Amino acid sequence: MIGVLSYLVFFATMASILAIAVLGLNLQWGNTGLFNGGVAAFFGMGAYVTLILGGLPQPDRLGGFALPYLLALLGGGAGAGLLAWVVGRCTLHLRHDYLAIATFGIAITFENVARNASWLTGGAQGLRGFEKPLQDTFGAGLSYNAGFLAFVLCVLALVYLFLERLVASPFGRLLRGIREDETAARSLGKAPARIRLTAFVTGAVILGLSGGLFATFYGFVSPQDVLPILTFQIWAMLIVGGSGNNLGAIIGTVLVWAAWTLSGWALSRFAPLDMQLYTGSIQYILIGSVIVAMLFWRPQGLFPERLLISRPARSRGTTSGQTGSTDT
Amino acid sequence: MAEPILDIRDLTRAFGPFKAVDGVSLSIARGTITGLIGPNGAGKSTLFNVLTGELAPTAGTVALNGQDVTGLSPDRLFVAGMGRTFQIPRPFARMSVLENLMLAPQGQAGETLPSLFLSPGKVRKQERQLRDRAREVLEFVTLGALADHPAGKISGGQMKLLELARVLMGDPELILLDEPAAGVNPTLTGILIEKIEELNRQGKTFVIIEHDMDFIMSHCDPVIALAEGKVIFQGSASDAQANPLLLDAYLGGPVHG
Amino acid sequence: MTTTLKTFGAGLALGLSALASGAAAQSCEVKIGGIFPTSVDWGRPIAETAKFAVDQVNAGGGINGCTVDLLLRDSQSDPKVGVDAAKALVDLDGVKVLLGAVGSGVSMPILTTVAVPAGIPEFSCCSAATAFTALAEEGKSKGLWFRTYPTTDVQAAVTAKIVADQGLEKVAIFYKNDDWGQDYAKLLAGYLDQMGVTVTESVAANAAQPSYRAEVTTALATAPDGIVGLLYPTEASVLIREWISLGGSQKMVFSNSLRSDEFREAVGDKYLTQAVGMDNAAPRVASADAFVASYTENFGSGPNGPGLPNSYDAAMIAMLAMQAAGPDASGADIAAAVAKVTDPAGTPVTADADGFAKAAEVLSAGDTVMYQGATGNVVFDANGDVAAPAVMWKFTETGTEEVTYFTMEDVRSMLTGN
Ligand SMILES: Nc1ncnc2c1ncn2[C@@H]1O[C@H](COP(=O)(O)OP(=O)(O)O)[C@@H](O)[C@H]1O
Ligand SMILES: [Mg+2]
Repeated sequence: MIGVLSYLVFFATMASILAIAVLGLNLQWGNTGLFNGGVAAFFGMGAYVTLILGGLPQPDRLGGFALPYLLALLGGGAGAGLLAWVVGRCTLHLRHDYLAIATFGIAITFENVARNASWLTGGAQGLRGFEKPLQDTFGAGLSYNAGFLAFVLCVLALVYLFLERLVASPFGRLLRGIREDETAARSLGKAPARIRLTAFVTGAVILGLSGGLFATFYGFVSPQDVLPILTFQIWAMLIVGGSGNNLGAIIGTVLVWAAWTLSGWALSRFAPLDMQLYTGSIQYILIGSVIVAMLFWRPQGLFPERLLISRPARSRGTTSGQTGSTDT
Repeated sequence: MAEPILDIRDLTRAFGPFKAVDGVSLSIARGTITGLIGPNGAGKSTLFNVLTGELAPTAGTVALNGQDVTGLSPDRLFVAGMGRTFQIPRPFARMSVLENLMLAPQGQAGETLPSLFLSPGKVRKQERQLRDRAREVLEFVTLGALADHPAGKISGGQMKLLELARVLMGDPELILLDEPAAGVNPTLTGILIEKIEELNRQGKTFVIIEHDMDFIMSHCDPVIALAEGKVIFQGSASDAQANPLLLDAYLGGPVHG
Repeated sequence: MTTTLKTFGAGLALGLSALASGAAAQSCEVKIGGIFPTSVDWGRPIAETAKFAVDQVNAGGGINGCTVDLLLRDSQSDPKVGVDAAKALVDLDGVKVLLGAVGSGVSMPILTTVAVPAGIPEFSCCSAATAFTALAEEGKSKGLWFRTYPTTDVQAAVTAKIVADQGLEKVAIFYKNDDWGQDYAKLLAGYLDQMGVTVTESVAANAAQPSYRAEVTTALATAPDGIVGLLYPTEASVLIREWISLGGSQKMVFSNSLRSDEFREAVGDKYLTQAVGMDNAAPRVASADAFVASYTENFGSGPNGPGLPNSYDAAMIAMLAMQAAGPDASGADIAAAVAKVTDPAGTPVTADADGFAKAAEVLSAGDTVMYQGATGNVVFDANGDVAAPAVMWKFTETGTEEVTYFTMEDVRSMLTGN
């Protein structure tokens, strides 16, 4: 059973890393209504910057600054935030559909830069030369993975608490207000552009942290890791969990990632031998069907957004405010 | 005469070749409840939208307290002291009535990330004060019992009161109300008028677009009439009632709400 | 919601108990894991070929008498998915050997995150990145990485050999400014240096320029005896014409990409009489032909996709090594046993059921075997890399023709210098 434990630790680590990314997207889409079609770019930025800052010096390549790990990881988050700031300044005034297309384009551009700027990113071969932190202390096996999982869970908890606080705060109220009715918010002295940019950049920093942890986990990142399928996966997790709900985002991540991987495992185990070669395609169909079914039957997700955050009213006379409720 | 709170010069707003507001020049005197009347499509709402920055003017200038504010964005104008409500109410529908109010005030520490996390004590204190104030204002407009209802689920009349309350939270000195009584039952209309007059006594200036001539004649002074984008009358309520031009503008008959 | 969670939990429990009972069930079965992009059109034949190798081994009596069960997992060409599949194969299914993956971007994290920490050997048919060689040289692949696909290093070594054989002592290199060109030029310069050939200048050529006068002038100024062109026909047609018209040496060595009529016609064959080039070649050994024949018989058409012979050999060698390591061997034992089945001094065995049965016999007597595979006699170097046969070719009035054939052994001897 040690194998099962080892696998579960591994699974939980990847699910938690992805959950952090989904929380980042939830701030952007769920809470603010910004359609980020380029999740992979911000995730990738975090991954690459973390490895460039924290990796060992490499011949023929800039980077490998061997910074302390936590600094490198924060640098990854900051890098993603910076990218979001630049992108946001140019695109946040765009309408939803245009914003989606613009950010999608950013992700494609990012992948191409990663593939071609080999002096910085290692090109198509990917970026190596990163030593996982504290490997000497924990070794390479299950104990290391368990330790790393604990660290990832801490980051996940911090991000979750940060966002819960954010959503319940005046800032969160403002985000919801702008999302509900931008014109009304502006007429009350609120500047949506600034607030949106703040939320977009903050979400991107969280995506970047997730990317940094991802790259740490593998000690490696390549353009394969930042393909558009990643953006799709993160979105699917958010939609299944319930956009606007942080807990839902986390549970959605675990469920979708479990479906994504366990379906492959189950098929390889239980599908008849002749079908083995086709399990990959069957899996795609299963995953696609689950997401489509979800959109049909429960578009608000398993855990819909909780909208009324303020505390329930102190009980008082309940009829006085109802006078004249018959008008149109 | 004292400096007007709002001074409008040759203001024009065109949609293509069509001028919805056509060379309007007006002064709104401080401390008045000014009535703005005119038939449907006269350009009243468009004038409000240009004044509050929702629409950019095609030509002309607007000065608030002697300061040129032409072309400023709605949020800057609200901060400068001009609040407004909408002809068709725009509540934050899926937020509670109380939250609708708490959103409005300026300078909340919890609205920026650094102070939200660096001075949580200050944020908490402000929130407490804000909540108390919001409840007070809600009581004032008689919506106290609806504090925790989703704003999209209250009646149209209550929404009009909610919009007024929301604007009051920001404490602007000039308030533009677009048809506050339209579609509202008489009881609520009565409350609304009472509250407007009370606020006016406390020093706030109102400009009110209204179709109900009784409302205008008994509560507004002076009265301004707009037709086809132009000012066709400015004067006291009693003069307005006697003015034949006005009756013409309303397509040849006296209008009653 | 609770229902969903319950269902999920129940499913998980079911899966785990099935796993536990599965382990105790069958009399004798050996599992190996395969991670291929089976949902991608060109990936499925690679997996099918690995499966074909497994069928051959089972027909030959299985590994140590046990039936081989190939557990195929789809990588979806997504590193996350591939790595998770590898981890599940190792932890949940208890495989001791991983076949795959195809793309380097998937194989690399599987190696660093799953295979090396668990001490499980990874046999890839198709990952070509030189990064694996670098990793091995740093000692970080722990001898657990094997691939049956030759890297750019092979092309570079053969090109260097050809340059030296032409009697050139000072050459300039023009290379296409992309992954392949950069890698190739760097490795080539290393080999030439070892052979005492001076590289006067290495000039990058960007794709599709209207003129390469600046690049040509730079190289010309260093007065080389000849040049090496690691280019594609589009840019080479312009660049080489300019080189010759400005009086550059006509002693030229080209990469396989210039073995093209388009290029020959653009430059004119009268200027190319002293030019030669390198190209990869299919192995000219009976075992390669035998593979083509048995593959065709089994699948109804020839192995005409990328990586198919390589996939067959990767699977075969992995299973031979498991046979050689004996039952209950650890992953490291299996990796160490690879040398016993790819020993040039060992008994030759063919790449089919009979060959496997014979290998089992020889190995049980304590001797070694030489696996004669679909890609020839596969021998891995210390980094898990292989050599591949190559040819030298020259231009004729009507096309190109082969001048020299370098066998896999020839090429391997060129590689050892590095
Ligand atoms: N955004 C717009 N585009 C084009 N025409 C408009 C627009 N807004 C208002 N109008 C036109 O301007 C005129 C004045 O409209 P409005 O100001 O709403 O009138 P009122 O509020 O006096 O009834 C109407 O003819 C209306 O159709
Ligand atoms: Mg109107």
